[in-house]
Amino acid sequence: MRNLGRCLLGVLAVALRQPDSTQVQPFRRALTCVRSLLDFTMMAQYQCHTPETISYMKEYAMQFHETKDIFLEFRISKRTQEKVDELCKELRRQRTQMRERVPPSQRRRICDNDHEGENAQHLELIHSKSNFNFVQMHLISHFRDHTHMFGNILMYSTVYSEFAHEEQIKDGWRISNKIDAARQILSSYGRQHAICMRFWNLEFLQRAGADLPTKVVEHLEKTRPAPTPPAYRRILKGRRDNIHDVVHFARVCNISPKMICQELIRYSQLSLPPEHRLPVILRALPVELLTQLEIPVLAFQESGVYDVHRARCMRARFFRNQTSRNDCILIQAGEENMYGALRGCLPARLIALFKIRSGYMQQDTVYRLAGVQFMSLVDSRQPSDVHGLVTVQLRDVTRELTIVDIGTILGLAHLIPETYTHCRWLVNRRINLRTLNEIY
Amino acid sequence: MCPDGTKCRQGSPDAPDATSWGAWVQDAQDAQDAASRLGESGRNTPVSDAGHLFADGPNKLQRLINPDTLRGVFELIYVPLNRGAQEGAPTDCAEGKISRCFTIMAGWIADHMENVTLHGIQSNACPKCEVPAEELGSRASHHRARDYARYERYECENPSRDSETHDAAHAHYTNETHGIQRGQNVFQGLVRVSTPDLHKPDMLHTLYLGLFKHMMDWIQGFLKKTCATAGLRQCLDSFAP
Repeated sequence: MRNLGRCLLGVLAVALRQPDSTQVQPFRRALTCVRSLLDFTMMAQYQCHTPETISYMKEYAMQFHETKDIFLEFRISKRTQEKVDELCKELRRQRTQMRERVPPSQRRRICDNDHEGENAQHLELIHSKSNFNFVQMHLISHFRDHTHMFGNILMYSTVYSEFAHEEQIKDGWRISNKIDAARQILSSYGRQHAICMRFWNLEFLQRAGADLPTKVVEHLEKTRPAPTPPAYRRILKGRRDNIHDVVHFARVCNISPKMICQELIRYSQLSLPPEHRLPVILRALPVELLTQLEIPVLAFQESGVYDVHRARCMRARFFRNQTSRNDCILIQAGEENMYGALRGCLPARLIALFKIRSGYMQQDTVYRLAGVQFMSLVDSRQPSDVHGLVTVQLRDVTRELTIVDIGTILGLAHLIPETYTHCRWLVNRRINLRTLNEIY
Repeated sequence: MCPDGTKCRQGSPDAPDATSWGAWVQDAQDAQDAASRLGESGRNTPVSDAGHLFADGPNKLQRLINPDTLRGVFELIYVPLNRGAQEGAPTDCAEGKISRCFTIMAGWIADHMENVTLHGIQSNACPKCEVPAEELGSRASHHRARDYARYERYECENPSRDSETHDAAHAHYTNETHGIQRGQNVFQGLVRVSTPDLHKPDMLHTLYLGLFKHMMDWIQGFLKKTCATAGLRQCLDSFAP
């Protein structure tokens, strides 16, 4: 449900993008209601708060309460539904009696009027009997005061204690023989916990210089986890062995070698210092084609915690036996005052991930590059006032390939297709807190 | 040796009572043993042992034992906690000094139905404030905070609440209006604790599994009414694997 909430507004905005004249206001109100609840949820996830963020929480909650009436008719209870059905039956009975007294030529017009009147009566009854009086609706009103008094809400959430059920109960249930399972769950978890503590104790003793038996030391060395590489480096993965040079690379990517060479020259001239520029003859330079880029993205309001975004560029190859996957990414393409609401970032579609070496010698420089197709902003470059999302599109005049350094890639972009014919997408800003705060 | 690899507290000769933590642990164990004994004699349904009962999860616990037994168990558990809150315990601190620390319960993280049982309130009542059931959906948020001590006093002053007397009607008014089942909050009586503040907001059950789930039902109804369900499904299907 949490992941659904991340993309709900964009998906709903696409579904409600073409209202008729009577639907404009209801659609706007529904989108505002969903948007305010999602924004409230995002604010509740902050680990550090300021008076401003707390006031945002209050504002979003107020907005949600003001607009939630649009969904009131879908809060219908079983008892109200029964009443509506009874009313319906009664109206039909009355209508039948009326029709018998009316000449056949006038019956159709009266029938249409009756339907409208019936719907209005139904809605009136539903609105009078339905309400939003359930406890979760009230509990969110305490979030703001609680944050003000005791700090962020996330640290009190049951999310983490519910995760513990997996290790403490569910794993034990799976490995039990389902007969007298409670006792087996208790004993298996207790044993695992005791072994874990024993390991910690032995490791502490080893660090403190205690004289441990050789077998114990060997076992500790074996079971010690391998050191992980630093998380802040971008890593290219998934090398394809059958690529030798630029010409071969162009053939595999289905792009003309001339265009690739032109783009490499452009990249070399614009982005590299004169002493490190690519050689003039590019066609024979060694190239490696790769399929995955791991991008570490600093977690929001954290200093040493990174989320790893895995951008894939499979070209025409299938990904996990499904369709091919060529992800959209966000690229730092300019200053913060450029590109309107996107603040210097532009979404782009990955065309290729590759390494190119400036020569055949070991000491030659390796350039880690990405071929992308940039998207451009639609309309006034500002978010829509209804759903608050920016629209981007691929234009016919857009360059087919632009080569950028992988260091300029900020992370994955979550784009929701708006139309299939015009290649337009909504940039989803509620996919995580960092995007919400930094992109626009 | 502690599980995190640090040395266990050995007891400083300067400390007036450096083994207080050990005494607390012993108290807690005594309380647990007593709870087990109470469980064997006081539960509605006999089971093989008390550990079994706790291991089966809170739902079964709630079903098996009545509020009085629950309160009895909690009172036993609170014995060492109350002692720590009243007297404090000398504790080694990071700067090398020994401070007197008081164990005060600051929160009880639970979902709403667990809070209903523990606070002795009705399922459509708020554990923090006295919001009437018919105003749960309103935007007003300044209702009076709950005062469980007052409810308990009320219960004591009106013991014949089940009989057909004026007092009973008065008690009924109190229970219904304030959304309490009985004046039996298991946290009542804890030293230095504000009982309404023990309730903590819960993102998982309030937002993700509560409001989001409701909202999805509303959105489905809305899309069905406006004939936009196909667009939503098409959009969701277009996401990358």
